[in-house]
Amino acid sequence: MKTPSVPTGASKALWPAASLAALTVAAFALAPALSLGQLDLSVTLLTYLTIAQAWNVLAGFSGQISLGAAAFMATGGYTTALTLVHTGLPWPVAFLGAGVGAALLALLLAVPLLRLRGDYFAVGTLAVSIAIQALLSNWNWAGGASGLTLPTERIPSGGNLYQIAVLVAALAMALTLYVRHSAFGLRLTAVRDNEPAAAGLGVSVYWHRLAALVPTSALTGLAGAVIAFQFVVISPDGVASVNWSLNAVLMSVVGGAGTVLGPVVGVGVVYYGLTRLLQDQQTLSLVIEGLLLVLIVRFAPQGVWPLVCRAVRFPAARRRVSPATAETGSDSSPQRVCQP
Amino acid sequence: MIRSTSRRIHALGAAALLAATAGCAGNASSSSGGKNDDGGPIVIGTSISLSGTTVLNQIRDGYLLAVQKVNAEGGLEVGGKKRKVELKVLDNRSDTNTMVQQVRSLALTDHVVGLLGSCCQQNIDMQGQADALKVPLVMGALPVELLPKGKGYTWDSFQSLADGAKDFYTVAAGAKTDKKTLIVTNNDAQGISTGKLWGATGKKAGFTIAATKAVPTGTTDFSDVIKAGKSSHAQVLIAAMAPPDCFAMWKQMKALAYKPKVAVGVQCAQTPGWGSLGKLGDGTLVQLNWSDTAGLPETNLIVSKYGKKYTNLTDLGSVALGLHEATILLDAIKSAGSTDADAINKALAKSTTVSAQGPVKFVDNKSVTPTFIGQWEGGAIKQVWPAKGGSPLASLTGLG
Repeated sequence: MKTPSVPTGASKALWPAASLAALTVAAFALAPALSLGQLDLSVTLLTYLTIAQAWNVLAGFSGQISLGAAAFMATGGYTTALTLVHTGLPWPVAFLGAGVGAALLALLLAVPLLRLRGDYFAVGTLAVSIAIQALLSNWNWAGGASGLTLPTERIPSGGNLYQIAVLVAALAMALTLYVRHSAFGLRLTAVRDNEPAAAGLGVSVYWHRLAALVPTSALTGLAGAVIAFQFVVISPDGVASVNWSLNAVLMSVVGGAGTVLGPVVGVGVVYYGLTRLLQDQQTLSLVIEGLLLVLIVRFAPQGVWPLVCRAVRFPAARRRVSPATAETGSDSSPQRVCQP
Repeated sequence: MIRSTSRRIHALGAAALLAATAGCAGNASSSSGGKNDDGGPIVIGTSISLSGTTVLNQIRDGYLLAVQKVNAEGGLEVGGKKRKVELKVLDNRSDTNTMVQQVRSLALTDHVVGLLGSCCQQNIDMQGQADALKVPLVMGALPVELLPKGKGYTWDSFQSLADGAKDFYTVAAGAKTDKKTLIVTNNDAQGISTGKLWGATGKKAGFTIAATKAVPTGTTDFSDVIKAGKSSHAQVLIAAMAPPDCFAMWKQMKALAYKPKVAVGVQCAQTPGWGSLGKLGDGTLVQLNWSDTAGLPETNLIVSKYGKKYTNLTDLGSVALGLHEATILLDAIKSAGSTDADAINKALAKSTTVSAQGPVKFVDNKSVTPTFIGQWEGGAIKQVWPAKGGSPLASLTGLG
């Protein structure tokens, strides 16, 4: 069935897409100027950005609250490791295999998972994640609980790994921009906001949910491959840890789920601000993290980025608001304008 | 108007991204300025579990004790000049990913000249980082048989599982049993290899392996295992499992009236949590890496410094382990006379350090430390093997 045509907002996407392209090129070119420590930190930040952005598309835009990012990270990481350890294939094949493997797993899991809604979907994805971790712990060909060590001479590192991480993160950002500004994204948000109404208007709920699940899983799988290259050793406790899922949720929610730049802010605040800068002060880091979450939930439930966005846009919007529109709360109200 | 504000928002976002990148870069640059060859303190580091499911404060205290000891003597002589040592301790919250990220940060941003280990599986994960980053790593808390073959940057000085098994059977032979043995392990690769090793050692020692069971980590129902023990009349029990699994099995053995005459909790009874079993845990044997009655070096220092803080033998043994590991690394830096990672690594290969767990001699990056067999009694552990300095073996009263 053909879904109804809606305005795509392609012209609005031009400026952010151009910014993304420019940033990607700049970040790519920056590689030779960075020290090993800076490259390593950037790879970590970019990987978190990828998984947070993938979660953002899946949950923030399509309303499928998932706790299964770790399952796809593990699939990507282990596909890469198994390919490199047990075959003579080069790393690009293993890397692409990670994305394909995670996408295939998503297709397979879609059969039972897409029958679930809301909390049930979240619990279902968490169960898959835990099951995969248990499977890997007991799978001796995959190294069991000790995991696998990648052949360091055959994997990218340093500047090359950083550039791969930049590309993967750029893909995740591009996917979010597409969802934010396309008719497909509009239909996804319709499914998120009111599934029966969207279905009544001819939107195929199943296919739209599937279309959000598969590419975001593939992206998370690619992030798993990047982590396998970076960590060199992968084990069920590491790449399959449920902490990946929790971090993806935390970073998106803190930054602002359902926005393009929210996860970017979330990764900066949660990983760089709280984890990295305060790594010498773990207790303080935990206390601040808890306090921040409470404050965000209480005062900025939409996240930090929408808050900043409103603060910047508010004066401009207020100047535009006529008394009549202000009373009706129409399109030009500050709240409406601040939905980037 | 809307489009111009939209542009402003995106420009703000892009600027924030660039600022963040620049901020990261600036921060990292300033850290990388403090390299270890600048005449300042020699920096070594560890990412260790100090919170979460595993808390290794005792090992951390051992590390700190070694550094305090060296600094009290004016530091290490490197390049003809004495330099103080700084130990950077990061808590990885028992999370492997955090550990890996912290180790990479220590090596690439803080430029540590050497790393100290954490525990158990984390040490195996850390080995990969040490090899990849080419930074020497000295670790314990991983039986030497379990250290995977790496690329030569990891040095494990700890007990041997084989020695522990041999000593246990020596102790068990002294008890009046029918020598029929039940072996229970977790069913992961480590558990299965441990089970095979204990089985083979038992046969050599004249014991009959009546039943062998492998259960998944997190098992709560041990009725099948206990049934196997009862039906085969096994009077000797070897349980090598995660601590919660052992705790559950001991409780169920009591409930189902399975009464072996000798029992050892490999790994699980080594944790201080075993004391929480109360009388139920009494009489259980445990493999120890240290004993205050064995006449090991630095015993007085450890007991005088931490005897009040840690009253248990396993805790003090962990302090000794930390002191031992850090001393090996610090001695290697001193022998190398340099902060160059490869020079320190070469010095480690030739290490002749004698520290809290005895003499060190690495063969294939492993140096075996002595093994002791202890027995739980009244919430504490006493040495029962070797007989010298030990107490006589008591009966397994907890399950009796």
